[in-house]
Amino acid sequence: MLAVRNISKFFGGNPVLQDITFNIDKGEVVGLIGPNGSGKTTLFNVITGFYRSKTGHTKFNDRDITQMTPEAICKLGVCRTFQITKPFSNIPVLKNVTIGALIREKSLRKAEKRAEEVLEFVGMQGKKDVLGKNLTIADRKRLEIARGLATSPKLFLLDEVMAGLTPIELQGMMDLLRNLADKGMTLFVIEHIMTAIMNLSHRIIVLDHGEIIAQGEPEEISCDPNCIKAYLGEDYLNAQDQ
Amino acid sequence: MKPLTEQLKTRQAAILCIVLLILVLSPLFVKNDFYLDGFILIFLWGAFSGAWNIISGYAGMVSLCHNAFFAIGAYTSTLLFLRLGITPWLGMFAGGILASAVGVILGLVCFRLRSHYFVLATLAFGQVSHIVSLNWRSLTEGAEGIALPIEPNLYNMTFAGKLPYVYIALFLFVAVMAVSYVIEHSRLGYYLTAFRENEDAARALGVKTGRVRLVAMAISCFLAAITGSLYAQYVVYIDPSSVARLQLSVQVALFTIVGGLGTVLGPAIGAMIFIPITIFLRANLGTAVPGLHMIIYGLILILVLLYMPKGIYGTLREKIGRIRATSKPEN
Repeated sequence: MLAVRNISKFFGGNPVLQDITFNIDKGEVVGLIGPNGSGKTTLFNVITGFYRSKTGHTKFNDRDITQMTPEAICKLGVCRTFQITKPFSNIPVLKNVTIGALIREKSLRKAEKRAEEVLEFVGMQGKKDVLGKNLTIADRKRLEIARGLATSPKLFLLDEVMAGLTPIELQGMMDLLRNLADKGMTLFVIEHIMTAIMNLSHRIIVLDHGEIIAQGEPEEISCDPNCIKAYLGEDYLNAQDQ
Repeated sequence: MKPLTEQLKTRQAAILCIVLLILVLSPLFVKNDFYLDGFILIFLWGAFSGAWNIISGYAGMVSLCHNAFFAIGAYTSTLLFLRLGITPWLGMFAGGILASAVGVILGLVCFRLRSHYFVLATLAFGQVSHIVSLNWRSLTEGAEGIALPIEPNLYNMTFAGKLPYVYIALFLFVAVMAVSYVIEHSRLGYYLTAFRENEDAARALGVKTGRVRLVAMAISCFLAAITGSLYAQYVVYIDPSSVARLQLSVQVALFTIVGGLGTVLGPAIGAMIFIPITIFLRANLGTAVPGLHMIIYGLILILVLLYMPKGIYGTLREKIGRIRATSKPEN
């Protein structure tokens, strides 16, 4: 479904992503983990067209999307959420989501109806009149998801939608994401909460300093020496060996 | 739930009809030319502010060069009439289209700039257009200005009494508000709002932020130019300092900000507040205290921004919405 080949990105000469290559198949839930600053969000930005890679290319369903704008990529069915949530602050939740739905619906009324359905699905139907800026963190994250879902994505990129949630909110978010996966939506998920990502993902990709250092099923990843080194340092490995 | 919104809609429609009726009928009872002049100025400035609001209020791209589009409208219809004999009824549309074209070109160049940088670019363009209108003497007669012949008839779009002007201006005023209403309740309005609130989020949701702003700019410039044409027909004399000076842009911005940015009625309310104050001061104080109206303008602006930061209409609407939300039974 998504084929990323040899993507690189530099910020002022500093490599942020180097020669990234991987695939995502239809219906998969793929986790993307890595220490802070390892390039996870940058990778999302490159895939969704916010940044341009100087090398390589990205294909979605065999269409080259490397040079496309974010809006064109969204139209094709690749949508993303933002780690730092970006609600439309001064308009109600329903209108927030309706804007997302407008890309697929011809009329405003149909888009609004679709938005209501999505809000019900994510459990925010009671908050449709609340302004974006008055939402709690948990609701902002939900709104990010609702807005994205309203665009009917085929591949949904989620950037730390579980960060900053209380345990109960976290459980709700997990259920929501699992629900999406069960419906057959392909998910690509950045997450720092290991229990969540290990539970959810079919496959995990590990980034460190802009390079993929490991890739595989959650069980493999959790005992991969490269990963342990990236997260806990070399000393930890040495200590374990002794 | 539904009957309530339906009820509100019929009530809103009823209020709208009554207000329209008052607006249409009241000039008939005003016999004094001085007050009729007030009506015309309110309608023209309300329309101009409404035009400005489409790009600056809904899309948040604050323009300080709408004086250029106003001038394009005024000069185009006037020159087409004087030099080619084309009726201003058509000439004003030519001016509108020309202004739209200029606005779109300006947008293509400047829309990549954000917030205050965009404002600075438009400020420069507005100032340059004033200077051009002063110095392009072969076209605009420079500072001497152009006078339209006073031969009242329909083809010339000049009239002996003020009443026809009142109704033409009223029609434009209502038309601009209708356009704003339609935009606000359409895909375009939703997309402009999305852009204004957060560009990245809008793009991630598939909003073509560049294109929707160009469309809004074209509409905004078109309407501003039409207002300029009507103004020229009304005062039958135009010169750079009356139709191209930068203060025109600042003035419509002021009216709209005080009335309520990004709302249908805000610009109209702003004009209804400021124009009478200006007329009153001019009539009663004359030039006794020069610049006094600017001080009062400033005072109103400060007070509104302090106590009603979303403008008079914007703040009231929010408060009413809040009261309605709390009184609504939970479903």
